Amino acid sequence: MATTLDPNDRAIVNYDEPPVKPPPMLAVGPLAWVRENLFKSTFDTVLTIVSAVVLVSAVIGLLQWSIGSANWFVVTGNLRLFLAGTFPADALWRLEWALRIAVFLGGFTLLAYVRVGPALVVLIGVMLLLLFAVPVVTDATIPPVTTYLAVGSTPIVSGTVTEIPQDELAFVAKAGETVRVQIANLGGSDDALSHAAGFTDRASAALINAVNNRLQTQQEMLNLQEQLDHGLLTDAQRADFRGEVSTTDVPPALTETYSVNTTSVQVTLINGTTGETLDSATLTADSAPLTVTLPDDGWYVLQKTIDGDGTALLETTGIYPLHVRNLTRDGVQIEQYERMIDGFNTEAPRAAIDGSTVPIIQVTDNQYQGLRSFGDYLRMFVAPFFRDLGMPFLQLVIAGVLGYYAAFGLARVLPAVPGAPRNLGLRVRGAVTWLWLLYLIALFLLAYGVQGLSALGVGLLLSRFVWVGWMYFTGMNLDRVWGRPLLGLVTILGVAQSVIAEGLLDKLSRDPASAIGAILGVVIWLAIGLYAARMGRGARGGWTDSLRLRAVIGSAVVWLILFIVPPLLIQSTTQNVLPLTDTRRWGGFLLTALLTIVAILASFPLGVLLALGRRSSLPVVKWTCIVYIELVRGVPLITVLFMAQLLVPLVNPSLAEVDNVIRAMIGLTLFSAAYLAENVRGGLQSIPGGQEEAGKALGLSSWQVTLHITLPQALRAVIPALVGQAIALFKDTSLVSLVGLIDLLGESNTVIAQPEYIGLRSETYVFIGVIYFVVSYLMAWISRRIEASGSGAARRV
Amino acid sequence: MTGTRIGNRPQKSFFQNIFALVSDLRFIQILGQIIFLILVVIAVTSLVSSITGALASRNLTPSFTFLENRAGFAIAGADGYSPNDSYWAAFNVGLRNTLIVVVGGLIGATVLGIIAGVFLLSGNWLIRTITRFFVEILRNTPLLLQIFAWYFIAILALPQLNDALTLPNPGLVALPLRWFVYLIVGVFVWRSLRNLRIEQRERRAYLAPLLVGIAAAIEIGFAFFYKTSGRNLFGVGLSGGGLQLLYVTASILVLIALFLTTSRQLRAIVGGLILGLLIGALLFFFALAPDAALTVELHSFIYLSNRGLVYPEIHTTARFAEWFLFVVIGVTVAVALYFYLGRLTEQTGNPHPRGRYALASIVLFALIGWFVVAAEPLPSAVPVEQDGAITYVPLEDARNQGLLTPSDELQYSEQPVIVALPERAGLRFRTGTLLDQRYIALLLALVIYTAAFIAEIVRAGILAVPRGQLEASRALGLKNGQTLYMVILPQALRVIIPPLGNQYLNLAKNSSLALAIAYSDIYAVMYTVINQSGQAVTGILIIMISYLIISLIIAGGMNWINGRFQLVTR
Repeated sequence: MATTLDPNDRAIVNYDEPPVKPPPMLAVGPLAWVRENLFKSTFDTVLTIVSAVVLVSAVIGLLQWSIGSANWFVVTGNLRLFLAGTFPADALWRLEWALRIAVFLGGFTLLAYVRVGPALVVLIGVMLLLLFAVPVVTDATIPPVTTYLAVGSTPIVSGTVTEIPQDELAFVAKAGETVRVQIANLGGSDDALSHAAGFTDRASAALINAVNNRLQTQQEMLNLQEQLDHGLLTDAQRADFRGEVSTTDVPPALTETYSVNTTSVQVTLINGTTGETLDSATLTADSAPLTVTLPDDGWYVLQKTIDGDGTALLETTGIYPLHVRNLTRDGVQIEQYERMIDGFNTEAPRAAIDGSTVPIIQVTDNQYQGLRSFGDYLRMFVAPFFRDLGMPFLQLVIAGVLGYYAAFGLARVLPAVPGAPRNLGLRVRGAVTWLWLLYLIALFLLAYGVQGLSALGVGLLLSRFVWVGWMYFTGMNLDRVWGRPLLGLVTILGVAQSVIAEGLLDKLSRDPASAIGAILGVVIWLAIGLYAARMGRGARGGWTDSLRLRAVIGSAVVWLILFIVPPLLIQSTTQNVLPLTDTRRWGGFLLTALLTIVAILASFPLGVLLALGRRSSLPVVKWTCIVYIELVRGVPLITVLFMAQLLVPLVNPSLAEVDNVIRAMIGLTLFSAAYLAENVRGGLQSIPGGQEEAGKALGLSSWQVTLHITLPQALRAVIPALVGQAIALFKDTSLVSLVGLIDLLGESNTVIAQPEYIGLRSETYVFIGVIYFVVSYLMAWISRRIEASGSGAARRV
Repeated sequence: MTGTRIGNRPQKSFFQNIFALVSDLRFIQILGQIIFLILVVIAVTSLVSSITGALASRNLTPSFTFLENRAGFAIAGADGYSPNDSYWAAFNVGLRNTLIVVVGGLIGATVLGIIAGVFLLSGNWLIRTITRFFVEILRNTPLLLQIFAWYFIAILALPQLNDALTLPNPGLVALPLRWFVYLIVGVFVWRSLRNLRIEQRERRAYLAPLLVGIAAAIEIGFAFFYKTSGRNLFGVGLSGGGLQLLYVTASILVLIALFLTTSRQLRAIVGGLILGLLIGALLFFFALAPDAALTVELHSFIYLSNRGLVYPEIHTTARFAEWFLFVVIGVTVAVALYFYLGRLTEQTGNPHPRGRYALASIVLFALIGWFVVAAEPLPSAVPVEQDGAITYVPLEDARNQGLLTPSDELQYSEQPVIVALPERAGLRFRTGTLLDQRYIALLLALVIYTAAFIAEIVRAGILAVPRGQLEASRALGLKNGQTLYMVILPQALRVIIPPLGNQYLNLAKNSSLALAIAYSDIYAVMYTVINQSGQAVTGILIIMISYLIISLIIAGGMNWINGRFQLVTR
């Protein structure tokens, strides 16, 4: 039944949208987050409150300690020891370059794997800004650290210590610095004196200590009295407290005993080198301070005498404690005086007046007194530390940026990866692993040195590597008209270069028998070059014509530069550029890093072999591997290290001369290999059996199946586990400090043993803890990135 | 084309036969293995012979007989060992020390690790973040550094023995009676609110804030305006400014929390709180809040100093066996009850709190046993040695005159167990058991370091349980505890146990770092032994075998547990 609808007959529904109310305040926004995450239930609330109170008090305590009382000079003054141990100073440039290259490669890797967001750029920018701005701002706005000096002839007694203020005081200063001397305006009462914060000489330290002791005793007695009056006490406690109150007497106010700052003081500033008086003044409590701008670097002497019997406390800036080092240079004993606050040092002999040396404020007999203010904290530690770090950090940032753009440029010229033509990182990813592997070897060589490597040799060696690349690119162009002649030319050039490098002609003319090695070298290099050319011919696929041409020309230019420039630049071409370093002088972070790197690299092939052996069908091989792996995994690392130290010389007397460092490396390698084998075995087990069967069905031998099919997949699958093991090994290298090596942890213990830094364990351990943490965390982060980037998974084509 | 000659077996020459043999894969494998074995044997024997040769040239032929020799070095804190004992005795001391560290470490690390693992998954952002922070720091710094830090920075910085930290502070403590009133009222209100329906509860939303307000106002009054209030809070030693600060912080946080948690009844809450504060202030002002207090005398039972931790000695007396019999009976009854009730639940479906009943039976039997045993009469007179002659003296007199030796005390005590509180005598403790400071540092470091790893394992294990399981158990109406105990844990443990075993092995091996702080474990003792006797090879062998055995025991135990928790499949 078809009915027509009358438009006027339609029921009219008056539908008003209900007004949209805003969600309740506690349902969205930050308040909702807080409620959901912090105060969800009663128990949650209690937990939040308790942990917030604990957290706040812990953070406050830590900050107070770090700013107010920690002595960070142990870190800022020993930075080189912590980083490189006693590595020879004239070879430090190698480590610097190693670091720069590492950061360069880091920048390179960054392009390959990570999309650099603005966050990283901003972070680095802020760090740079802080490093350069903080010292400047601090110098401009915060007054210099105060030093308190006592004047007078009355001995000051503090506990068992008695100190007489000295009339003269020598100090070191830079040209243009200002010295200010005035009467301290806190001599009024004991209470004010106890709040003094600054460097002190012995006598003023004794005075402040005595004041603090007195105030403390006074407070204790007040507390006891309060207890006796109001507290709940047992009879025994009451008697105890009574006895204590009656036997202890609080000395009278020390400001009055020593009549501090009641009379005027004569001060004279003398140039310690020439003996001429720069300025002098009579200071009273309300006179203007004596201010002198110093003419040049060197020693100065402050003479101070008091009119009358009392004691005065001077408040000075520009006079800082010194740290005396006894050095032996070229067989001569030298005393070096280093200013604690900024490391400014002099080797000029100490200032003398009337033939006797003037006393100085030494770091050993003096510390900062009182609770440090934040300004002093910035002045003493942060600004100098940042000033030291600023330039090296800038260099590293530049190296990193260069590395990033080098990768960028390389990626632009390399052919696009099929499937992801716009992904630049993917194009250079293949090079990253090889570059790092090469770098690790180069790092070891840089640190250890190479025997008989002259500047000429470096040029020749590097240019040979470039020559191999040149041959590769020439091989790519082999299909062109000029391809074959070019190949001939390059080959001849390479052979000529090899002949020169090996000194073949020279050797032939002297003794043909000794030239066999050289001939072999030439032949091997030639073979490598020809093989590279063959590989290049096979790989010319995705390269455009112009690209191939550019590659040939580019490598030719680099070859020429490397071949020609080093001998021109360095005059003494026969001098060794990388002399061997003494491994006993390796220390600190350098040793830790090298031990880790060497152990990881060396244990890798061994571990893979052990893993393959453990899965072998041959019972003898299998059981040998099982016994080795389980034996090593069952005993602590320290026994393995101990064995390496103790047993190596017993195995063969000729091995007794092997360095401790090398022994530790052997021990770590043997230990690490067993764990690595288990990781790799896990990876091998995760490969489905069908892969191996398919490989066999294709007619591959079992070695080919392992090398080309199962092992690559297995290794890719266990990258996270391997990084985890690298982190564990990095931490475990700290155990070598128990067998007499001075790694980062061992270095911290030697630093604490120095008389001027004795007992500063907390500061040292916090510092090296931060280093360990940052490096381990960085490795873990990289591992997570690799996992996330999908490189760990089997590659899909 | 050799394949064409099938069926016409050719006569092979001798050389062809040899060639066939040589190119046979099986032959190559066997030959290769033999050569490999020979190489391994040669390497090992030459190693051993060169080492023994080198040792023999120094008149140090490796043997185990040297273990009989006099050790001649002292070991700190070793009971029943003197330098005159043999090397073997010294080794036993080391073994004992290693074992107590490992056992203590395993228990501590497991407990702490599970707690931290649960914290890592907590819904509370603050707890989760703090735990994550600590776990990352602990996992990414070397254990040796942590041991040094614990020992040198934490333990050695504790006060000297003569002003050791005590728990609780000895002396009199006033417990204000009003606290008991709070407690009773609080429990009463909580229980009565719990039984109400939800809408009724919402109508009484003002009640809790009101009570909190009253209590807060009274406490603030006592803390700030009441001069002669008690000094010690629970004997912990909170006093003065810290206490007041705590009050203010706590009341502010409570206010915020109340505001955020039950916002629907915001008016009721704020109104209740303000009213409560007013009432409380008035009560305090008109001195209606009681200031009476219960005075309790506390004795310290824990002393913590840089020489270690001292805790009470616990002795079993002559009557212990009798009492223990009661406990055994209690446990037997408890076990029987537990299984019987479990069966009953299965059969009838009615829930029975079997765990509670079992616990109650143990406690009941232990208490009854204690009273029965303590009620037995003591001998009226006891033999006591006086001036070389043995005389009988009434027990009370003997005790008062101090004639009883410690063993006599145990013989004539009413109680089955005596707890002797630590008692200081000069620079040592007359009674009390001392935990060596090095032991504490090592144990702390090992426990906390390993717990960080276990926390990650526990977290991963719990995350491995599919979320559907949790939701299903909620849908079935299981409570949180039941869900955890019956659904999550059994499944998570399957994932947790294998890596947990690895961590246990690591802990056992890491205990060898005791050497760094001179705690005498196996390795440290044998290190001294090796240095003294020169028997390096034998010494290292003994160390390795000891650790291998410990590792084997742990691995075996974990394998057994693992087998019990695996899914049983057909």
